[in-house]
Amino acid sequence: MTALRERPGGRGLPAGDAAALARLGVEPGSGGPQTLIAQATAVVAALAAMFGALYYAVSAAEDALEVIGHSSGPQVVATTELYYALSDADSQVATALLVGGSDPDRAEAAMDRYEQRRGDIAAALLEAHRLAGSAEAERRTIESVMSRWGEYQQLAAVALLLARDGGYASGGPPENVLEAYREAAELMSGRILPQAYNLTLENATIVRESYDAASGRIDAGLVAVALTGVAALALLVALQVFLARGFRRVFNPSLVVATAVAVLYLFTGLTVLDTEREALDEAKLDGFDAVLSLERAQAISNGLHADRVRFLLDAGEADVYEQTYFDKAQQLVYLEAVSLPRYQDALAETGRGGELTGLVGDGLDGSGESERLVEAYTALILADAAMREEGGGPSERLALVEGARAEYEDALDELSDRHLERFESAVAAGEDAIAGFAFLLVAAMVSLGVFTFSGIAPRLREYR
Amino acid sequence: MIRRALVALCAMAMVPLAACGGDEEESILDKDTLRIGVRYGLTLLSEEVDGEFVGYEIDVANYIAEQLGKDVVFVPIELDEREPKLLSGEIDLAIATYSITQERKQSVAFAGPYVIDHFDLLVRADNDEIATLDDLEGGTVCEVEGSNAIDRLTEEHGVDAVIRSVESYEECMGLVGSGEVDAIATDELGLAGLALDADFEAKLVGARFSQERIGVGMRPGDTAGCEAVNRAITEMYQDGPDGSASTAELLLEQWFAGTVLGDLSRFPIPQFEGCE
Repeated sequence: MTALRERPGGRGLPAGDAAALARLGVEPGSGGPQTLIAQATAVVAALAAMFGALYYAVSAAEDALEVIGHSSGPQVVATTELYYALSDADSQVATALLVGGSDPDRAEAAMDRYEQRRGDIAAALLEAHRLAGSAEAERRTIESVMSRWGEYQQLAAVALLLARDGGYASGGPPENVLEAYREAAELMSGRILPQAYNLTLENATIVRESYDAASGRIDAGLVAVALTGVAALALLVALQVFLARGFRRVFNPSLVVATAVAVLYLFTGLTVLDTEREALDEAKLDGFDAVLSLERAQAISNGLHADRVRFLLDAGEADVYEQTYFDKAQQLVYLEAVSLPRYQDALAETGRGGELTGLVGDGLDGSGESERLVEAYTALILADAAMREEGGGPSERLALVEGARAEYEDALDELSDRHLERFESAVAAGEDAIAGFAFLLVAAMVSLGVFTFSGIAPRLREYR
Repeated sequence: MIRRALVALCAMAMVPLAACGGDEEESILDKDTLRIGVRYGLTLLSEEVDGEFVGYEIDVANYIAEQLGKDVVFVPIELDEREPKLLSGEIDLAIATYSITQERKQSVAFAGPYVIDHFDLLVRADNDEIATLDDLEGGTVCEVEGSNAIDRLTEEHGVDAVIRSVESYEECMGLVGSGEVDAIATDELGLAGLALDADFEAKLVGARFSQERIGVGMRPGDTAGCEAVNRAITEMYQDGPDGSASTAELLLEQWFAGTVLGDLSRFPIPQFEGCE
């Protein structure tokens, strides 16, 4: 910092001085102000590249968190809620038809719940439509679900009317009621529910795509930030060495500050990106994927129950419904088994402990809630097995699994909520970590540019 | 962080590719031409006529490839070649009456299903003895190796019938025609073609004893590819403008109208298995 000489470049030094400087490793500066400006410009350019890379990676994280946390992620939940409401509405119609006049209270309760579901469905459809935004294919699917749901309600109304006029008390509904309901049921299970379910999967695809893209950008950003950051630091050091040699100033305060700030930002930038990467991984891999598995499990579990009701209701197609029930059970918890009875046996043996695969298996995380869910699932499948062995009217048989079903659905809800919370907090953590970061980047870039040029400004004046 | 940085470096091709290891699954999306394994000799579904493949599954395969923007090479395969040829890379997709089961999913991946099919029984039209599945008890059923129809029949539905294993459906049809076996058990789309070809009057029993979700077999691990195929199938089932029939409905109509299948409107929109 001590000025040895006032004149630049050390030209015209006495020979003794020059030799003394050479021994100290200090060479007379070469080049003019252009060299100095070029070096400073290179420093600023490298810093700009570093900040550009940081901005690129941080905005990728921001975009991905937006998609995962606020559009397609929630759409997955919204569409499974839609699926659940649709499927439950259908169950209520089936239940009302099943019990007929034999149990007016139960039939009325079913109709009340059907009415409530109709409201839920209208709300869920609107929400799904809103979240779909400008995604054309998705909107078309939602609109198709809307119009088919309208058709279903008309068909169900006819079946319910026929049932009321028929006034049957026990032994299941007469053929004309079944006929009318079958059309509604086919529309629900064959058109409406698959579309709603596929909508959930489509949103999962959008989440995965944006996660993959963001991961790639953050990874590339990490490398680019590290490379450009190191280059900027090297250039800053080179500039200081140049000044020290050429102007015999050991330290340049502005450049020292600039270097310190650049180191700080390089370090902070890498740390923030790493934090983002972790938050994104947590939100997607630990949170979202588990939420998706369990949301799908809820949808499939509904279908499982619908297959059970149809198995009881429609003796002619009972075999098919037993097989689709079995297939869904295997989708929920996969166990090697060739038939439903074998599956029931296998589940009874391995229910507790052991690694489970399938949609329920994928959502397990070793928590108390997970344990409860596995127990509840096992109990439900076994209660169902006992039910299939029983004789009696369909509604009495169905009542045998109601308790186990309620417990299972509750356990599934509880674990799903747990993952949902984790997912939401990971998204929030990721967003907090980069809140205002873009503004900071601009501020830092400007201040570093100022420091660098103010560092060389006094030396430039020496050329005049 | 070092590992991630290395991955990113590889992605940016800043280091020779050999250093990146080859554990990344290749996606069908990276190819220009897809080798699609299809069945052959199945009337209406998939057969070679004058050197060209034609049929319902061929049209589905072409539609999917077109949606993905890929050229197609059809590779005729046997039932029991579907899994090995997929895994060895000889074919990229199997669109070959391949029903999705949780058991098969342990080794191969599935996109779709693109159609929901049912297993049924084909018998001679003058056979009045077999009207339900239970009537097969003690009878003889023909099986083609590699199909899961017989497992469904005997294991899941517990039907105690004599099984006659042969190599092709033609052989089966000959045996049913001559009365040596009582019935053929396979999916109804396949049976529709067999009934059309039969040199005797054939009918379906209508037992529809199993629901089969016919999917697109893929190598495991190609999530993006699987999702792209699902999008193509979604598009296939999307109604045309002004509520006109979807491509999927038109294809079913084109190939199966007027066959033993009867009413085609009962074919549902498939609920996807999901890509893992």
